Amino acid sequence: MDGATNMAVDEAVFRGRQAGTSPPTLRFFAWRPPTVSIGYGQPLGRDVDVGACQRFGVGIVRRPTGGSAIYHDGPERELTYSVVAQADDLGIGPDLLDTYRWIARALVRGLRALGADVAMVPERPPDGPVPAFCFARTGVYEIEVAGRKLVGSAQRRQAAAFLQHGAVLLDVDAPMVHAVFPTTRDPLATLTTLAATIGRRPGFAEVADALAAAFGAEHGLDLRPGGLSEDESERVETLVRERYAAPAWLVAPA
Amino acid sequence: MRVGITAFAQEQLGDVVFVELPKVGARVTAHQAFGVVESVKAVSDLFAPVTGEVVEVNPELASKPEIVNQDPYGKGWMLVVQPADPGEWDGLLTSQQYEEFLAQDAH
Repeated sequence: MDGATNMAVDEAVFRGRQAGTSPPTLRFFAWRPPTVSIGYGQPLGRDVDVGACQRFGVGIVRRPTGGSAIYHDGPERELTYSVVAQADDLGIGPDLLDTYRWIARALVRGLRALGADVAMVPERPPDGPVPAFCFARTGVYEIEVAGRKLVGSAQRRQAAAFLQHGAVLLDVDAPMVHAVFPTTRDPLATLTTLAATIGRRPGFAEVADALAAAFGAEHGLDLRPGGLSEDESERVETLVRERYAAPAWLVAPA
Repeated sequence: MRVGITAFAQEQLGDVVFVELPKVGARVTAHQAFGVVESVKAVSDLFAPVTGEVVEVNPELASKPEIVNQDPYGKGWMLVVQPADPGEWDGLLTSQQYEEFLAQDAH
């Protein structure tokens, strides 16, 4: 799906969970065409080369979540997960970091099953200003290998309901990342990929299966495959039209 | 009534990097979202404590969102709202009552 639809689906499920009409949801998805997503309040033109995106056929979308920009390659090089729940669904409190940690535990288990020697970033004081490029810095409970970021995550909250999504790098198109983030001096220095970590590039389905199994095993979940409900599909249509595909939203949120 | 977020909320969120607020003249509704605060950890909806009209918006927050962290009960205020029903005050907690509530909740 394109960027606008992907973000509309995540928000539709999130709004549905708040309203009590959607179940807690774990979703894995890919981006077609490849898309740069920017954080909720991130200025568009400052950090992303919009002209380069247009030349290379790369979409751009503003996320409902915070954080810095990400280049989402197609399904051969990237998988995005999203989790929508109320804190009560997970049997934990509404503390923000608790939900990050709950998700990170499952991601660590799944990525280790694929052979990647990943670790959860421990709590520590923040270091300096927020970078333009998401993979330029790891936050607490994000996933890294030997100090280099493998999964970049961001969260949206309304009271105890939250949406968290994050990009898992299977591989990286280095020239493209340089082209779309010209203000980031060496965007590859701080990141790593599954291909670099395990010595081969795993397929999208293989990674999705491993992560789903890990969420189930780590937290004792009974995951049931499903599509969007009628209610969710209606929200998606509205959100694409009025928000995520609207030029005004891309310029600034409101 | 001056509206902002609590010391607990800013601590949970971490460094605030962006605040989106309604304009003067807008109407806010008790317990409904009126804006958004973004931190390094999350984007979170802001909820109105009372129903009323926005009569002032903190002009500093657009360029200096970090004052929400530095002084949530002072310089980091967000809106001034003219409450439609002054009786709604009665349902609110002082910062001290809220801290007592949090302390109970933690046990």
